[in-house]
Amino acid sequence: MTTFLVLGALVAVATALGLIWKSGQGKLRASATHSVIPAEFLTPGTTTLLQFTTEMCGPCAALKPQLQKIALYRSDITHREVDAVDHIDLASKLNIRSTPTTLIVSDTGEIRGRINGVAPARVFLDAVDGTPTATQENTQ
Amino acid sequence: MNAHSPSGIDPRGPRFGAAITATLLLITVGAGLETAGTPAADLATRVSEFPFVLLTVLSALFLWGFIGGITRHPYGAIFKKIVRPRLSAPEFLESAAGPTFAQGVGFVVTAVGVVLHISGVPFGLVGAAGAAFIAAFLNSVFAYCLGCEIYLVFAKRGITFGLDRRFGGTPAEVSDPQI
Repeated sequence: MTTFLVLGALVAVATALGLIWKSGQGKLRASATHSVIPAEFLTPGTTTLLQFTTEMCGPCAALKPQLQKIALYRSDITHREVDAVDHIDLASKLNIRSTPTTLIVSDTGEIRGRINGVAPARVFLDAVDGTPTATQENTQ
Repeated sequence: MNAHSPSGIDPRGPRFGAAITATLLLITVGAGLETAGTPAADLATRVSEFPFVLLTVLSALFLWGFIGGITRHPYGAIFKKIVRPRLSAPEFLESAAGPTFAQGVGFVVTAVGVVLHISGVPFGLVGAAGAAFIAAFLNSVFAYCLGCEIYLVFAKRGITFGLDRRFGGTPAEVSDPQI
């Protein structure tokens, strides 16, 4: 009986941890950093979806074509992919702790929000357009 | 990409393997609980116990996956031959580096449990198996790769364990996954 209770508790803890992690994925959050993104990562006149990725990141590969498609259909949006390991200083300054993390950056380099993980295209579009349907939370 | 993974892997492969691993680790914990607090006094008895043997086998499989690469892991072969033909094509492929490194993390955690049990440390085996179970469960159920996150931490410090040379490159979006 005790064995089953312990095993049940172990599964419950693992499930709770997974749900906590999942609840933080795919949501637009306000950026706590006041860093300005360098111009080399921006395209003048457009909002940039700055996707931080790494070579070993599986979900990054899933998100990339989705963001590319958004940029293809919206001339005011640009998608840029940045390897977090290759740009370690920038990633550390922006507190990139997991990938994919996508920053919504204005054409002046101001960070308007960040989205951890994979999310539907609507979330990114809402983030760019500033519509209230996106879940906005404070971060860090 | 190199010969191990010319076009990336099906991300469902490692999750399938993690599900098997999580189940076996849960069995290990369940079987080891009864004597976890009071390990047998003599070494011969301790190393012949079922939970110890099972955790040792799992640890060896983790080591196999880390050294040989996730594409050569036995669970990957099962997935490729039996499971994947019954599934639709994956939406994307991922690099083998992260899951391969995760195998290394799994090896370290389970090896600690093996060593602690050999040393007669109470709850050492079930503690390590429980920790490894949580990681495997998160991977299989939630697609959360703890090892991949740990890899990022090391990679940020320039430590890649040679995995960037073995599996470096961006996975192509093609439909010829290795597992």
